Amino acid sequence: MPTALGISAFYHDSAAALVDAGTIVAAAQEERFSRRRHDPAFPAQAARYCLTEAGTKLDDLDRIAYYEDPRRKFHRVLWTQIGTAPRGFGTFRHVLPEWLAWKRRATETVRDRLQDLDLGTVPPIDCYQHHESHAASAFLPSPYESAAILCVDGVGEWTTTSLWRGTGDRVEPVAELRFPHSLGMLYSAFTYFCGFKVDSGEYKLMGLAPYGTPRYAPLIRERLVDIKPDGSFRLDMRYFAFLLGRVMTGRPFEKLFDGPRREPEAPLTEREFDLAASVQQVTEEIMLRLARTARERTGESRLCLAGGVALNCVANGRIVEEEIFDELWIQPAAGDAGGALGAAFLAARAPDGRSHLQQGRDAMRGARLGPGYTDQHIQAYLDSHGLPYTRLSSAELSRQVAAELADGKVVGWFQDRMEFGPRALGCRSILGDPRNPEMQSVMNQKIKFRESFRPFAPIVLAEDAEEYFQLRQPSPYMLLVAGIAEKQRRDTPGQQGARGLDRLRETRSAIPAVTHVDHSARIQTVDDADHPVLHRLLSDFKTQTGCAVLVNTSFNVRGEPIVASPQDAYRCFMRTNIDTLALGDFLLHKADQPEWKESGDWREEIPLD
Amino acid sequence: MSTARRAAVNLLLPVVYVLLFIPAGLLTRLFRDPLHRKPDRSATSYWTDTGPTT
Repeated sequence: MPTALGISAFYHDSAAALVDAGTIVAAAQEERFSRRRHDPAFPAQAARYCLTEAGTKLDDLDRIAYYEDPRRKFHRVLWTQIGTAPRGFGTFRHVLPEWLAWKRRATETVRDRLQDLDLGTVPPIDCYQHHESHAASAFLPSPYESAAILCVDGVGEWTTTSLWRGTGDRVEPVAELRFPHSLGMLYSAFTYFCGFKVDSGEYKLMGLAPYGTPRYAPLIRERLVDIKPDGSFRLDMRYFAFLLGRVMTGRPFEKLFDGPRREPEAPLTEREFDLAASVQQVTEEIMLRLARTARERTGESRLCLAGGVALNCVANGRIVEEEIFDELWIQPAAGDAGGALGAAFLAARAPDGRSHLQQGRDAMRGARLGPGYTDQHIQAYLDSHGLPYTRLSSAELSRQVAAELADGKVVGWFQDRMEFGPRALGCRSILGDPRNPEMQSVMNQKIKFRESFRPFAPIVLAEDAEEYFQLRQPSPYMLLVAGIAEKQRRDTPGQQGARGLDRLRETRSAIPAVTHVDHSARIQTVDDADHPVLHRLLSDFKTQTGCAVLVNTSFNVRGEPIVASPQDAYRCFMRTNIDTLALGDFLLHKADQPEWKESGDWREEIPLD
Repeated sequence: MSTARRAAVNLLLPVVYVLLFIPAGLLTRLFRDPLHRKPDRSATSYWTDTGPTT
């Protein structure tokens, strides 16, 4: 049976994934081990973990699958330099030496680094195209026999947007758009201009959008991007600076949008709210048109999505809402980390087809594909450090945690195998009671130490999702945004008309902690088969309170990767105002713990995201 | 990269840029912009077909 280790590396969010005949054995991002957010380095620890989880060595693998083609990418880098000369010397002198030195032969570096693991002989390395890897990650693990596939991101080699058709165990290209015309780059330009970090702050911009009005959208359509009826588009590069330097926007962009960019961490103004709302509206318009074209050109009734822009769950929600397709499936690791998984799938197809289709499910197992820790391991850690805990049966622990949540406590929830992809889906999560109107500001400022405007996402029992949300299909990976159900809405009289961040103080529903200012929520539906432990906790919370929803946010503080090990979890628990920590079957209360001592200020060690 | 090699690269880079990339860029753009930096408002679509030709 073919077995392959997929690798994505050297740009953003490196990862490794091991696939054995169409079944995912393990997948993880390097950042979780190195503790460096979006770590672009070779994923040595993630690769070692995948091999350990599979109980195999490099010799036992048939293939290494690299997620992009370095030579084609080098070709694009050279043409960009030629195309921008004589104005691009700034990037030329930074970029060319590393491309000449090693990046154009990145697969040789991959071979050397794998050899350094000392885990046997490295098998042959196959390169796939960046968007081919995305397309494979979107379709091959999906629950569909056939589907249209849409990949939208910043850029890979040349492709920035691609349309594919998936049938059986194949993905076939249909059409593409090429660099520098990129929806990911357009969104990142606004992310940068609004003072957030490119390739990580896009989520904040999306969260900011409902605070503003899209008054700049006509200007974006008229001057920045020409959108055709079929969703294809071209940027007017006179307004962007990313071809010429290490910044996204320059003077012409500033002139168009009322002055210089917001400095990072400066106060947010009405302009940023409106810019966020405007680029979000244009992004949704393009995504809807792309989806319609995908339907027309493939004739398929289901759509699979991947690429960084597929993490824009508001746009995904619109595709569902507009009923362009009967159903939508989005790869939870939609960004570059997922490329490792897609490449591994391409290299290790099962000879007898995609077996998960027979169970009518996807192949992601709730994205629980990373390292897990046994109770023995956790107990050994707690005992060796003399940390006080109570050990309970799984059922007792679940009931106890539900009771503490109902009592207003914030709980660190560390269970099962770690999630693959950028979202915490209930294995490395911080949980709270969504009915509590104070919970959003408590969790933002006292737990996560992050901006007050950022919304939190709900997890809900799949069977009760309709009771709370206007959702037309399951959303197991928190990648769809939908409205709060009418019957849950509670508009407080006298609060209407507030603007900007003042809108945070409005109460909008019976679950205010997870209701965004536009009555939307980024939903994760939890079913028993994919997530039995989390399903039980939600059921216990519902039994005790009548509410089938919890607040779920990633188990980390701002700027830090999500916790991976019990040690990481305990450290985060002690550094923040989390009240209770559930580590497997072990329950720890803050009040019982010995005093936490650290030399220096840990918050200064974590770079801002 | 050693310091001497880095210094050599830093000296060579402007030379290569001026002698190779600038002429290549100017020459290419006489015929067409390889990056299509301005939208073509009269075009009906920007898609490039990548599927098998029929």
